Amino acid sequence: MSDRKSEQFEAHLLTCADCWHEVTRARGGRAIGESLRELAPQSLREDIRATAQSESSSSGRFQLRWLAAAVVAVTLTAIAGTALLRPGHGDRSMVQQPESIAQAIIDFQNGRIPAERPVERDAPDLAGIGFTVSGAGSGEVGNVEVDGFTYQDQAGRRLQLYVSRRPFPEAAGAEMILDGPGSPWMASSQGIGLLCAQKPFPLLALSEDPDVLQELSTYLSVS
Amino acid sequence: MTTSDFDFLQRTLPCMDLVYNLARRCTTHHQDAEDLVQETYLRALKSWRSHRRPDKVEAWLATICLNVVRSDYRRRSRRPAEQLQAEAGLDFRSGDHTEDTALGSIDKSAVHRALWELPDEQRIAVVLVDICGFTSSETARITRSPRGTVLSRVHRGRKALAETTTLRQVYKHET
Repeated sequence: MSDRKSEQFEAHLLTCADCWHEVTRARGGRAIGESLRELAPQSLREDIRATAQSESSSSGRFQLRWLAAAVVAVTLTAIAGTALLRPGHGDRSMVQQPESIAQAIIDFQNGRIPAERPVERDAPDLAGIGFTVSGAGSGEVGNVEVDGFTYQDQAGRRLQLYVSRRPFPEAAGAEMILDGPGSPWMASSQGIGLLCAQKPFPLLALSEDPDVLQELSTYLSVS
Repeated sequence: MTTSDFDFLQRTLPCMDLVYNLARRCTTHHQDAEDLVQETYLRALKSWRSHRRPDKVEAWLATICLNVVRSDYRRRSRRPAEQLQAEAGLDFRSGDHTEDTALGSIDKSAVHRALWELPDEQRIAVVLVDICGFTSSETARITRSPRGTVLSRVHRGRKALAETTTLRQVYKHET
């Protein structure tokens, strides 16, 4: 309310019994409401702190157990793949992937990104292809230090993007987009598509939808 | 505890009084309020771990708390049975106005009951503005209502609160 309107209102209040009564009532109600303020019990504060700590450690224990199970599963899968599949034929998803690629796939399947520290760089802006950032974190994927970003579009399609200073290893079954060394490549493993490129920065992208990776490839001009 | 969780507690624990006050006025018993606060913080922590970093932690927590109330507690909550524990009398005389004086000895349980008799929207608006200290604009965002609607609800709620509580006191004194 402007000063002038405020003055007019106050002048009106002094002369109008109905409005004065209305304001006085509301002021009384406000005082009554404010009187209900309480301090949270100290025990509740401690409970919350303890709950957060126990959640943190149980989540860590769960992740360790899960990771151990995943390592066993990946190892068994790789052994089975080596034993049963002839090279060059069959399901390429059964082929053992380099550590960082395997880890990236596991993280994508579980909707996780490394969260050991804050990201060093801003998330690449993918609004142009309809994707917005839903998470960010920095850490290691396999043995590659990365900034990881998760994206989602309005259709609910997910995209996970890892950006690193170092190039990523080539996935088993990768198909080169260009000729020559350092070519961007695409691959598919366990139903998840991968796109890797050195330009405009070393990146590894994962999505369940191959069209998303095609769009990303064009949008970032990786080739 | 991870750095992220530590950061979460550092940012959110100072808001606990606010969340607790909101929870107290959205539930009928102390224990339910404490459960609601715990649930609110758990959901907030999960969201925090998914890298959600709100600009205004207070409003964020209040929104989560109200979402929990809507999703979980509405089914279970009951209007308070008229067995609320009597709480200490209050003294908030703020001047020599007769109404202020009349309101000066009201006990908290009467106010609590009066608050629960308000329609939900008015009660939430009064709680957010007068008890939690949010501005009308912040309340509008939290409740996803136009600011004008919030102002109207707060005004009606305050008036009803004053009238109901004063009537109860008058009745109590007369009997």
